[in-house]
Amino acid sequence: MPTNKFPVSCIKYFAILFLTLSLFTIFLLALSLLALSYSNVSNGSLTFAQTPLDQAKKDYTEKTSDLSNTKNAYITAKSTYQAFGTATAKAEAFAKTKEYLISVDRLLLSYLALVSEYGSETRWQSSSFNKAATDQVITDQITFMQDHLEKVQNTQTLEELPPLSLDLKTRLDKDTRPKINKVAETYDIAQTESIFGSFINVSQLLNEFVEKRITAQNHTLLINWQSEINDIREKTLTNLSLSKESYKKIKDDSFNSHQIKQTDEILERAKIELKRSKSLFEEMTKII
Amino acid sequence: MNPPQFQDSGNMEKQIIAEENVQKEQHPAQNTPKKSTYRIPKIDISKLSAKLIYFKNRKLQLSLLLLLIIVIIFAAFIMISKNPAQTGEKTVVKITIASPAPTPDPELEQVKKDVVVFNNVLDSLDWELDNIKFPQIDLDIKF
Repeated sequence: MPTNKFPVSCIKYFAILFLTLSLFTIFLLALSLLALSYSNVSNGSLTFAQTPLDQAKKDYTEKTSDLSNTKNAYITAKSTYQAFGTATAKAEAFAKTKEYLISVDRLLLSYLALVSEYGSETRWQSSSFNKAATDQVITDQITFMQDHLEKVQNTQTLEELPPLSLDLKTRLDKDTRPKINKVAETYDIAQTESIFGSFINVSQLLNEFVEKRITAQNHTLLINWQSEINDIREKTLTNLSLSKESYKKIKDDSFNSHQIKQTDEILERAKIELKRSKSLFEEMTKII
Repeated sequence: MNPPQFQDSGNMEKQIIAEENVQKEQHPAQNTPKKSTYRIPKIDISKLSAKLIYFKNRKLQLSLLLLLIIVIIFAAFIMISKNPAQTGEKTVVKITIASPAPTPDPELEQVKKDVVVFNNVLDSLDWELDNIKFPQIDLDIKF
């Protein structure tokens, strides 16, 4: 009986083709999934993966929400215990107070991570401040919070919790809050100093270039431009120096909002001066 | 001369002519000229599908199925490739003039670039440091 080889070879050919296409489709699907894993779909739109700062902000917001929930549960349990004084109510009060203190520690750890991320975003070039020093302040606070969290997690009775709460409160008031507020102020001044350094470089570069190319009829314009730039430089430098002097008066061991506010106000004047340079630089690049 | 023979032959002829006339009356369509229009043969789809379903050669049936799937996949790919994503933005065609353009000044370009970079950096003065205000926490826990 003669064998018909055509259908067999035909099937083989189509099967190979089909398999190849299937593999290609699977490959495309895998690529799409890989792309999705590096991105985030929110509100129906595709957005790119979050930066560490965005992630830290998100985490801090979540921890704030958690704290609000545990605080409500703690207040309810405390009221019940104070009203009835039963063993069950005490056990519930202990559990809810413990949960609340745990969420306080977690919120503070999340907050310190957020501060640290802002430090990474800060421009430290041409700054008189040291990033390592501010990082060390944050690390010390993180170590304390982790230790405190462990102590809270190991508690067995309700009586153990108020002293731990007081311990944390004292630490926050006398050490963490003043130091972290000063760290935030450090970031702000360091960033402004760094941008001022860039201003000096760009203004010098532009001035040298323009002096070589400027026509006689635009010479008056150049002189006026230079005087404006000098004015910005002098005023920014003065305000930066004043803000640094004010910064030095910020205490490390107590919360002094007045000194921080004063430093902020002086620094803001330096920022306003620096911002004036934007239009002046743009104007000169158009003229040349 | 034989007149009756002539009569007989005449009768036969009449009979033949009469029969022919009857035939012509019975089948008038047969004598009409054939039309030159081409008629598509009618295909009964139900019979065809039944034939395919009960086709004895299973391998050929499978190959036809595979071919159909491949054609569909190819068609899908072609349709996808022919429909580029519409962004809603009009494509701007830059018309360049063939005349010799002025040679760009690299020093000037660098200065302009530095100014643009600086202006972008200047925007970072307005960063949201308010986000790191110390959180307000109630730690007055007493029982």
